[in-house]
Amino acid sequence: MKFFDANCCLGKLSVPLPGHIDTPRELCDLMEQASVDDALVYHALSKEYSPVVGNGKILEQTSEHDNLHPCWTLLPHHTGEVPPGADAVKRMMGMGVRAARVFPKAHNWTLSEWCVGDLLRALEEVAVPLFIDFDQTDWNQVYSVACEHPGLTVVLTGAPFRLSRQVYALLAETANVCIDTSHFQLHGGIEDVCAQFGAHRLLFGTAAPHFSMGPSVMAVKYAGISEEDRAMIAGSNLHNLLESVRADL
Amino acid sequence: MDYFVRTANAGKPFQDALIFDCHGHFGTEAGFHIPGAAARQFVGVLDRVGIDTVAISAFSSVMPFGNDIVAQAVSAHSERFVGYARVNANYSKDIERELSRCFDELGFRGIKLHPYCDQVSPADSRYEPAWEFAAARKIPVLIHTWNSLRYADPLVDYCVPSRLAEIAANYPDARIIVGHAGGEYDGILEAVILAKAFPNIYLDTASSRLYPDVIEMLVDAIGAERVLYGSDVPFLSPVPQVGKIVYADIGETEKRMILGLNAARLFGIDLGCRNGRDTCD
Repeated sequence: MKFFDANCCLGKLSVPLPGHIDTPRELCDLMEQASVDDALVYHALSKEYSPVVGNGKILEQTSEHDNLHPCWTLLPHHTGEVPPGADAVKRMMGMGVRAARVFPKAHNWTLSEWCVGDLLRALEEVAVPLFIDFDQTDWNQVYSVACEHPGLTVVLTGAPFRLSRQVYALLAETANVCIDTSHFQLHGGIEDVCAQFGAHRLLFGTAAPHFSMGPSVMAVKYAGISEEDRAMIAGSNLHNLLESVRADL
Repeated sequence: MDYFVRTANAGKPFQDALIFDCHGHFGTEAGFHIPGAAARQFVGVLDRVGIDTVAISAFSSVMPFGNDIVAQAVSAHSERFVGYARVNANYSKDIERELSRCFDELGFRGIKLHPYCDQVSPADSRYEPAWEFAAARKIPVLIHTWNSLRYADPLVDYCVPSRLAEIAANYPDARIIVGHAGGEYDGILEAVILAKAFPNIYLDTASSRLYPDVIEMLVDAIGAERVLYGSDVPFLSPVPQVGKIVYADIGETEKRMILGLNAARLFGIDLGCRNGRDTCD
């Protein structure tokens, strides 16, 4: 069974906590210690400074590590900082990047259709999964994006255990939203989500290096679920999402 | 690679170690749905991980309602649960009577205080009956603490770790378990200062914040003897909470102390003899 971390960051943070690591080598060492095989990583600068700069950095930093897979951070195009949706996605895929992240709150924009509808349509067209941290949006916006773009897989990362009532409602009322396990430390939560919504709605994530990797690995390893479901959550769900990207279009 | 990492990597229960969780609950929580809260599922998770015993308190601070729920759970699963008596400072005049009932009639082993929920500071006179009772009988007291500079919550002021300094000094015979070891990183640093100053302060590791290097920092600062594994189960899944200790960069002996031996000794429970694993002495 392979563990593929869906929620990982590289690069120096402006406010690091003790134990923070920031280089690809250090991240690979952590992964080895926790028996994590692969990681989908975005760059800290893409959130804290500039998506364009951060996206370049993540390509550089993952280039020598086959088990680190770059994730780009995207923006609405109207200011001219980035190309329009279809062109931005084409450029991203041309660089071998098959996953996208957005930080609407940190970057001060909205996930509403009038702001990023073209970008969301472009991602949907080629089946690039979209990752959004829970604290970067709100439930209504995630629900609207999922409904407006049924072909787009939205991965809500960092959804906390305390909000299980909203998480369950979102999973019940949409078919294309997944959550990662990094903050979903609900007692019996992995088991219950698998039983109610299916293991395909959960992706293993650690939120490293903000959080330790080992405890999140254990959460999946010790869950009371079938080995088939465990393998899906641990890695094959994310692997399949990235493999399903239509790079030929 | 030590026993704990080997076992965790294999996904097997920790059968060759004593695991005593100093921070658990029982019942339901108003703020969110807990799918694994029922006793059967609760104990099933303990079995899967190899957790021997959990010290549980009520989610409800209403007396005697909450403590009666805990008493039923302890009675039904006496091999897996020990009870904390939760008392509410807003009903101060009832505290001594409730504690006597819980300890003398129901066999509880600790006291749980929650200044955040009660909205009463730990040093407020309304908590005095609890501290007096705990000191007189040398009973462990688990008290919720939290501090963070990252968000504004006025109620946090009731539960910052530094508020316990006065209590630790006034009640040297009380064994005070600092719940969540202060919570966020700011609170953890504050809890460490407290623990360094007072030998009757113990630090509980339960926290949803799976920050790296915290366990290492606690052990480095005060030694492993006063660091206790806690999980907040079923508020949180206990599995990642065990993982914080398992994957910490500390010795196997220290992991055994934190995961079970320290708490078993503090609570005076000889789980080692019962389970044929680590001894408590």
